[in-house]
Amino acid sequence: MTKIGRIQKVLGGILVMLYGIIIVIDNPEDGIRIVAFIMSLTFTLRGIQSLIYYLRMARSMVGGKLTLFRGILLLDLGALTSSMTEGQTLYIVLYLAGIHLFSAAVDLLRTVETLKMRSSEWRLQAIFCATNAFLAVMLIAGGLVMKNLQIVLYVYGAGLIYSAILNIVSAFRKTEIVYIP
Amino acid sequence: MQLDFHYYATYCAAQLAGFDHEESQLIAYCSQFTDCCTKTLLKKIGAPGEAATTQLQVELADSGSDILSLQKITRIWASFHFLPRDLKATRARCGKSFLAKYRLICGPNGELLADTVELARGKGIEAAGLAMHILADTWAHMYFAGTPSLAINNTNYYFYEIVPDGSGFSERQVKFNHNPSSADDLEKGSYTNSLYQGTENSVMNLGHGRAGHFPDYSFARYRYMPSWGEYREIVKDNPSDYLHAFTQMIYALKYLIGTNPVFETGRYDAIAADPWMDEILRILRTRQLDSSADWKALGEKISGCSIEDFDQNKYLKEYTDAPKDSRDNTVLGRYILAALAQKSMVTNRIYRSGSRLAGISVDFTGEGQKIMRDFGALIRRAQSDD
Repeated sequence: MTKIGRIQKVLGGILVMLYGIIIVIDNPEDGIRIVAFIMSLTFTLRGIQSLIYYLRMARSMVGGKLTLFRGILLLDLGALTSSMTEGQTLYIVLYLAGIHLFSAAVDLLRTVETLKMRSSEWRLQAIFCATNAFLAVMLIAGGLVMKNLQIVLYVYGAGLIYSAILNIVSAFRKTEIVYIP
Repeated sequence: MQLDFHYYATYCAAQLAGFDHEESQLIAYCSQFTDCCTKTLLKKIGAPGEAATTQLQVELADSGSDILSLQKITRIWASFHFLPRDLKATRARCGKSFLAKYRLICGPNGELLADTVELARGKGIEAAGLAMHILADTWAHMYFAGTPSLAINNTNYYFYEIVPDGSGFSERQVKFNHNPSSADDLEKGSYTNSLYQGTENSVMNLGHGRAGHFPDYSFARYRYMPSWGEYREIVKDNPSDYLHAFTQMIYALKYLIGTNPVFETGRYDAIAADPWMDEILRILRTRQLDSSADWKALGEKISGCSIEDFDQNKYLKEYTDAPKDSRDNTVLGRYILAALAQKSMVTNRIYRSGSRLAGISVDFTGEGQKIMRDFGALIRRAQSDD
């Protein structure tokens, strides 16, 4: 990883940590809306990025359509999440739980793939998978079963802070690069 | 390609072209040194870092994905290992960014190859060795580009090895893994490649990293779907391509020594190789990770002399011990000049094709140009030639 890459990762981690702290100390209703807003913004920007890459490069490459579909899907998710910021908090909790469950499933597939490839990256992938699954379960437990938004935000904020710490730690890991000249 | 071809096979080609034993060893050394001449090494001996012909893994890992780092990577890899075949290539229905990278796809017998050989003429044995490395790699690295690009260099699951089976061939899907410590397994058809990175400019998408070392083996025959190929499959026959590389090296070296009056692309000297053809074909087709011993034995049979093992540090002391103003007259000094000239020429051609992927180029012989300090040696030589 480049020095700039490491700095970016550390800064990203600090931002996520601040985000985690803000939603924990804010009032529950606003906290949930902030979460939905940030997710909406992230999905939208990544969707636009994918679509620009598709138009500039990927439309001419094998498998490039996937970039187009990813871009459209991310934009859709961004729009959907944005509409949630004005809805009932219960739906936002359910939606967030769904997103994290989906991320956990993707991380699980990545873990299996990296294990098959005999890469030591699988441990980190497994931790991301477990964190996402844990967040989803806690969102469902706190929001739907206990019906306590404050607990949901505490757990969610703690998860974000933990994820930020992992990100910062991974910035200092030794880079393993396989390049074949 | 690896040391076996860049060093020992190049020695054989130099012998068959008419160079004597010492000259052939120097040509082979300079050819292989192209895979060792990193900025780290050059800085260690007080040589200009811009003459780097390759990059260490750690240098690549420390490169950013900013435009200047990408241009630096492209200057090195496109100039010395993935010489573009056609900088004027056209393609329908693609964006400007894609076309710029598409034009950097490496291949044999391009205009730039003729320019490379021409540039080496009269510049000494060292320049000839460097040119032979570049020429040979145009065959091995065909269809990949010397710039990081997912859209150009990516490969997918559709990658099949064609394996000799009795009197015919059978096929099996290549199993790629990303464990850098695991050796390629020829029996199981398992090879190490670089990790998939969905980012266009990741160094993992440089050259044939996504196909691993597989294209570097002379025995390899495979079919796959290159990322740029519009879903058309490509069949690569390395024994045939490597034989073309070998006989083209003989032809080019005969031009550089003065036996051939011209160098034209698409011409090969199979006649000079003919007495040894059975042995050459046997080596090229043998399924082994390293053919050095076989090529060395053939080289010694051709010349009747013992070939030294490659020692990267062989000429470093001569360079560091020489006074600064006469370093250009050492083996490494001449090699560095040849490398700077080659890099300058390729960067200039890419720039003139309308692409900024290798950076902005100025004509170093022009007047009033502010140029990089490292290329000062080229100006001095141009002035002394005048």
